[in-house]
Amino acid sequence: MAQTMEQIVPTTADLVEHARGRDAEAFAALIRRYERVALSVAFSVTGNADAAGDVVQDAFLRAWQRLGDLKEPGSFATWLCGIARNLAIDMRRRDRHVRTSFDTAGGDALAIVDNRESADPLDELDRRERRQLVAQALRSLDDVTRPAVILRYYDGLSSKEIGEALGMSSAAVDMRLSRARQQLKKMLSPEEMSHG
Amino acid sequence: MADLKFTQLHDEPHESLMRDYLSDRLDRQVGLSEARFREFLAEEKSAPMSRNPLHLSNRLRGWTFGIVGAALAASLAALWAGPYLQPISPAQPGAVAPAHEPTLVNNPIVVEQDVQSQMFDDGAVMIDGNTPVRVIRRHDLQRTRWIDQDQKLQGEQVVPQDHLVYVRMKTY
Repeated sequence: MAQTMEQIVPTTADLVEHARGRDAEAFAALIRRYERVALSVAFSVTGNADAAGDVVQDAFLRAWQRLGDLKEPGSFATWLCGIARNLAIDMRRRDRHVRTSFDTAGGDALAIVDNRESADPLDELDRRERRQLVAQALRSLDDVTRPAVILRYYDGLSSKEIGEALGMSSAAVDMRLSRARQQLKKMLSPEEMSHG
Repeated sequence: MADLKFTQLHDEPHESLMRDYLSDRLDRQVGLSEARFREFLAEEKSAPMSRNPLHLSNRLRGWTFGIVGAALAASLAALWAGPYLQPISPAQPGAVAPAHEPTLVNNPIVVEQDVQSQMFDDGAVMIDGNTPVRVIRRHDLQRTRWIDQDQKLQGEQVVPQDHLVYVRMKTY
């Protein structure tokens, strides 16, 4: 099996079938393939990267334990995204007082790194403001469009792949992305940035 | 899905901003799921019963049902037998007190239960070679005490439990 996996890229359905036989390496390959997808979906709900990371780790463990429930092995992405979304919603309800949606906590941690690199505090302030504007722009999107946007810009998925992950048609994804692009363009335009 | 990446050759400024923002936030999380999965497999392999919270809770549940069941049975027995065990008052005229007065049964079994918890910081360890985590251990002692007033007996059972929590450490 290892030799075969090196020679050709196995399909998702193949990996799922092997993982159902308790092949941990096949499941690890599924994790590597879909971790960014699941992170995108979880982040679109929690708005907090650490929380999204925790959710995705739990989602994969749950998927491993319940692979037998998956009817169509080829639909692993849709199924996994459903698990991640539900866990993220649960976490958001539970931790809403602890972790704020699309907050700046993660950004502050990054700011320390940025600050070491740049000597100019004004540059740093500018970067921080831009991050806050992007967070606001993401928050302004509706709950269906937001994961589609994150999957496109973070994971670089095509509309067809986004549709598969979110259970939508690619035409519906295109329509939502097109509207979102206009909205984001307006909110993140240089004029808007300069006015804060 | 991964081999069919959508690439935007001519990013507009707002799209670059969005990509950078998402990468800054989420790239740190990539790889942690596989590490967690391998850690889970190792735990499952090393101690399939004790580390599995489901098994542990089932065992505790059975134990709790045992205590509650015993207490309930004893209470019912006391209620049922209570009227027959009332002593005859010697003050009543014409009444004769028995030679061996039966003991009045009140609360034949008292169950007392408490849990003592202590948190320990077991230090930082590396998972999968490159993921630092801090290991926090919560040590619980669940203590249950019975006092049988009727038979002048008392018993105590102590169940220790360890819960491990891995807290991911940020690397700068």
